[in-house]
Amino acid sequence: MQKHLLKTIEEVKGGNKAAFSSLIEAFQHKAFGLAYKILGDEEEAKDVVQDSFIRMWEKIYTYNPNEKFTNWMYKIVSNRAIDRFRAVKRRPSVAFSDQVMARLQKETALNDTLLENKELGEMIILLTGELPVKQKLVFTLRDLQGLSAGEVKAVTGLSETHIKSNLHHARKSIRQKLITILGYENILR
Amino acid sequence: MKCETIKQIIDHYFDSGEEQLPAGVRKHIDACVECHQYYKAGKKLGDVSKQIRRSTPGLNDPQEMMINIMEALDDRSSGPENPSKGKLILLIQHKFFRQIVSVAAIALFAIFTCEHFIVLNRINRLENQYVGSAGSPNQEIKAMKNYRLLKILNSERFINVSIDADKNDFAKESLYQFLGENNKTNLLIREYQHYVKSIPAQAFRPDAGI
Repeated sequence: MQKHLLKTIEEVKGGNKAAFSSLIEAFQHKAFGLAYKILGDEEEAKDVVQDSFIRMWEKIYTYNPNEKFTNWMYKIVSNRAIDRFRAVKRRPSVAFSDQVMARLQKETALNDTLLENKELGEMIILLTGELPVKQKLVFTLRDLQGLSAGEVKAVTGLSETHIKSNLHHARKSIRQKLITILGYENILR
Repeated sequence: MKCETIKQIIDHYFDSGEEQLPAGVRKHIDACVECHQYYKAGKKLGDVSKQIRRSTPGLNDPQEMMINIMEALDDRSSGPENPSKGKLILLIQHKFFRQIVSVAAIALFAIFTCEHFIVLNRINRLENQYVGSAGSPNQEIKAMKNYRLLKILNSERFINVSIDADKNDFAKESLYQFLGENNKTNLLIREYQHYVKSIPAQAFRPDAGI
C-alpha cells in the first residue's frame, strides 16, 4: 500500500493528473471528515477539502516520503479549516455562541425526549467552536478524528505537553458545557 | 476525599485512559450523587466521541468533488511547483539541518556577546586610564594607541559600544575629552565621525577644531 502510494506521489510530482485523481479518490473522505469536524458545516467543509487538494497539488514536493501521507494531508486540511473557521466566526451576522445556543435549543425542543448519541455528537462538534483554536484542533484530531498522540504531534507541531494540556482543558470545557446546557438528566440515560 | 479532588482524579482517569479508577474513588462515586454524575458525564462524552469517529457524515457526491478539483487544476494549467525548490525545502525541514542551525545560532550569539563584553571592558579601562592620567602625554599616547588598535580590530562593534556610551554622561565626557582636546587625534576623529553618525553633533565641543 505504502509503496503504491509513494509511486503515485512520484507520478503526481511529475505533473500526472490521473495519478492525482487517484489520490483524491483515496483520501477525500478522510479529508472531508476532518474538515467537517472542525467546521460543523458540510458546505464549508467541501470548500475546504477542494482548496486543500489544490494546495496539495501545488505543494506535493514538500511532502516528505518518511512522513505518513495522511499526517501531511491533515496538516493542510486542518490549517485551511481553521482559517475558514476563523473567517466564519468573524462574520458579523449572528454571534457564534448564539448560533450554538439556537441549534441546541432546536435539538432539545423535544422536551422530555432523551437525546440520541448522534444529536449529542453534533452538539459536541458545535461546542468545539467555543474553544480556543489550539484546544479545538487537538480535541478534534485526537478525540473526534481518532489520531494517536504522535500523529496529533506531527499534524499540529505542538509538543506532547501542550497536546496533553490542551486536550485536558478541551475535554473539561466541553463536559462542563454539556452538563450545563442539557442538564444531567439528558446526558445520563 | 473532597469532591473537587475526586473530580480531578476523574479528569485524569479520562485523560490518561487508565483501565480502572482507584477503589477509594469508586467508593466515593457510588456514594456521592454529584461525583457520580460528573463521572457519568465524562464517560458519555468519551462514548459519543468514539461514535463520532465511527460515523462521520461522508461526502454525498464524491464524484462532484473530484470534478471540481480537476477543473480547478485545469484552469491553473501549471504542474506542481519547482522540484529543485522542493529539495531545498526538504533539506530545511530536515531535523538534523534544523539542529545544526540552532547550535550555530547559539554559538554565534555566545561569541558576539563575549566579544562585546571584552570590547566594553577594554573601553572602560581605556577611559579610566585617560581620566586618571589627564595631562600625562605618555599615558595619553598609550591610550590613543589602545584606541586605534581597538578601532582597527573592532571598528563597527566599537562604534556600537561608543553609541551606548553616549547615553552615559561620564562615558560621553571621557570620549569627548579623548577625541576633542587632543590635536594628535584629528585624523582619528574624522574616521570616528564617519562611523558615529548617530551621536548628536553637540556631543562634540564646537571649538574642537574638527
